[in-house]
Amino acid sequence: MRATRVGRLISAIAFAALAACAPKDAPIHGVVMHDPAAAAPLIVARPGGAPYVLAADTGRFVLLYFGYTHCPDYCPMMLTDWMRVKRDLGPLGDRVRFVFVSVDPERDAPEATAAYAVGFDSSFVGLAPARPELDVIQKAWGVTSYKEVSNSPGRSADSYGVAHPAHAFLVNRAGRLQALYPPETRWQDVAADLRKLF
Amino acid sequence: MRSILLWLPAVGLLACSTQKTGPSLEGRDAWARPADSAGTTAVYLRIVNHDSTTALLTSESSSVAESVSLHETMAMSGMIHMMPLDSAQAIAPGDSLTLKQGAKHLMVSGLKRKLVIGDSLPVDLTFKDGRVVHVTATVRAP
Repeated sequence: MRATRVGRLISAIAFAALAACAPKDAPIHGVVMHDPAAAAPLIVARPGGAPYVLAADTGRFVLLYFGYTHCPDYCPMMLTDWMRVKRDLGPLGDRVRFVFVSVDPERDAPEATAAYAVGFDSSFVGLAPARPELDVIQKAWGVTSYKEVSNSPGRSADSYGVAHPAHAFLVNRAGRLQALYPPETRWQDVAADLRKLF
Repeated sequence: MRSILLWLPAVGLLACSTQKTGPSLEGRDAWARPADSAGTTAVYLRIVNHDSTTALLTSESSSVAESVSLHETMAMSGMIHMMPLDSAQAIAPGDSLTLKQGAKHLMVSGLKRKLVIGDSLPVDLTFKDGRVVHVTATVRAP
């Protein structure tokens, strides 16, 4: 019994020490960068308008996800979660940019990708970089994506899937990469983090 | 009297057939997200096998889409993959197959019309023994 009490005391002290070390402005969910580095550049041409430039969003939080519009399950789940985050934040949500970057340049046209993102929330940004642009972006962000084509009988080569990064990126208002949110992150936790960081 | 005796087996058969209530295979709580025409969506539902034999789901189709196929979303090594499930899905007697977000789902591609909240999306589930279960998915927000 005594050993258990001592163990609990040690655990409590260790937890308190860790909590004291954590930066006060750090999010509390996902993979948190304790010394955030500048986010990689993200510049994507948009039809009939100025290109999207991540650096121009300095002063806002930016949530960034790499996916594709033919993704029937996971990508719409992510964008639906973002929709909930934005609604939950109320007016604060207007100070967060939600950016969806397509990794399927063969099928995702810029106009269609922009419309896809706006279908979830009128403020969401949907970008479809051309292949050379996408290659540069993926290298800079340290992510990858690739086609997955089934050779089974009856499967059309056009109906391929695209493996894409699982996590979403949170860029802080200083333009630094603050956290990565893995797939199991609940939207309520993302909203709580943003509320804490504002 | 003789004619009554001739009718008895038929009456007996009718009695037996009316003892069974409800379908042997059933699609429950089917829903799909809204999507644009020519776009892609997913259908989620629970397929229940009330029968005494294993049911094998072999193919899926819809009159309002170019293709419907069973896929599974998987997160592996920091990546999201969507794998087509080509083998028949077995549903044991009394068991069910649940298709849900982030897991097994029906991928519906090449929609012939836009799907908005409140619409219906018909899907046919075909089983190895030839049975076809007609399901109507409600288009709604998740």
